[in-house]
Amino acid sequence: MYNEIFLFERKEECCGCSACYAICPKNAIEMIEDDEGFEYPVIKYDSCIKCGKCIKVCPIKNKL
Amino acid sequence: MSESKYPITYAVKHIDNKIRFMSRSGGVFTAISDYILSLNGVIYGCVLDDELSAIHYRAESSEERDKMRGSKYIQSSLSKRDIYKNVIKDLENDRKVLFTGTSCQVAGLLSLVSGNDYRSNLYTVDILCHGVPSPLVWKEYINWQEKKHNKKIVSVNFRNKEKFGWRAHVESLSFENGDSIDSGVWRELFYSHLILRPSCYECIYKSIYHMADITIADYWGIENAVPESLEFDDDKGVSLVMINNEKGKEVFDSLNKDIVFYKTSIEESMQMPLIAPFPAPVNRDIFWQDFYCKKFDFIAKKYASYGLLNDIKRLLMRIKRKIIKR
Repeated sequence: MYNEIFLFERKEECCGCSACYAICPKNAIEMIEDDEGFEYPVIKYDSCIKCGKCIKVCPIKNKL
Repeated sequence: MSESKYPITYAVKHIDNKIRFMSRSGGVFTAISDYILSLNGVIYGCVLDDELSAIHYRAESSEERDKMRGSKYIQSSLSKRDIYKNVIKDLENDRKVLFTGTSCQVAGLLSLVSGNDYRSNLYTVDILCHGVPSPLVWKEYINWQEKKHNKKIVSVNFRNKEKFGWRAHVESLSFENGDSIDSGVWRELFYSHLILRPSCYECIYKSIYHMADITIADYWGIENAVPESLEFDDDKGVSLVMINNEKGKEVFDSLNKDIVFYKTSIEESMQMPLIAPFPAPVNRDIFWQDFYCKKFDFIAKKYASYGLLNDIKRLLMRIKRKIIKR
């Protein structure tokens, strides 16, 4: 479905809500703290099936 | 019915003063969660865990729920206890669920459950949020206080209302041996906006229209919103409650026995988080360079008005103001 999954380009585009982490059917997303101590999703590309559910559920991308 | 009648705003106080002292504002979270608990529902909200980290928890009793009272001033983790997945599990088991959190945490959950039938059992409350501070800086702050006093901190009251009143915003840290200290360092770092999450500076939820069924906050400006003759404000805390939809109204109408309230207007309730996000401070990068390179003592002095030199400066300012007044 998707060629490559990118959840955000700039950190300002991720609020760390973990919806992408929760919806991933392959548990291919981990929430990892960055150097400021905030959690961000990190995709394990080995397990990712590129279904795109994480992108569709993102409240910031979709301005719900 | 048209959506335009929302938000409806109220000034609200819990009738029990003891509950208000244990709450950040007027104690309305306790009233709302008591109502959901009475329906055999489950409550999700933010607590400080044993390591003093902010984390979301699940509660089924009022005792567990009580730990969620009071704001935390740190971003809480939803992933560490798989909170969204547990909410969905509860909803699938036909339980009513109250989820409380920041606007973006509520948005993430609503996005996850959209289109599902069990959505009707989900009640959401968001807090009017300035932005969420860094859990890492929080950890360093706690370490610094513990080293300075050579004792372990066991609990934090981010706003000691009982001792200082609602408006003062003084944090109290309690140590394992029963001692406690009061400080303004975390408050200063919080209001400096230097340690907020980058996305907070571009927050898309800063408006009077909220997705949660109910929005709760401190009622700043209460003195203008409720006639003084009613003696509503006693500096023990008043909640601003925004009812954002029919479901929020249904909940609010069920709280009668536990609260006193006064209907106000959104115009009388305006505060910055209802308008726009705070911009990233120009010295944010410099702060983080300092944070990585310097000791926390330096950070507290430079960015949080801590230390003898700052105390003297404040004293001189006070004297100057007194002289000018004469």
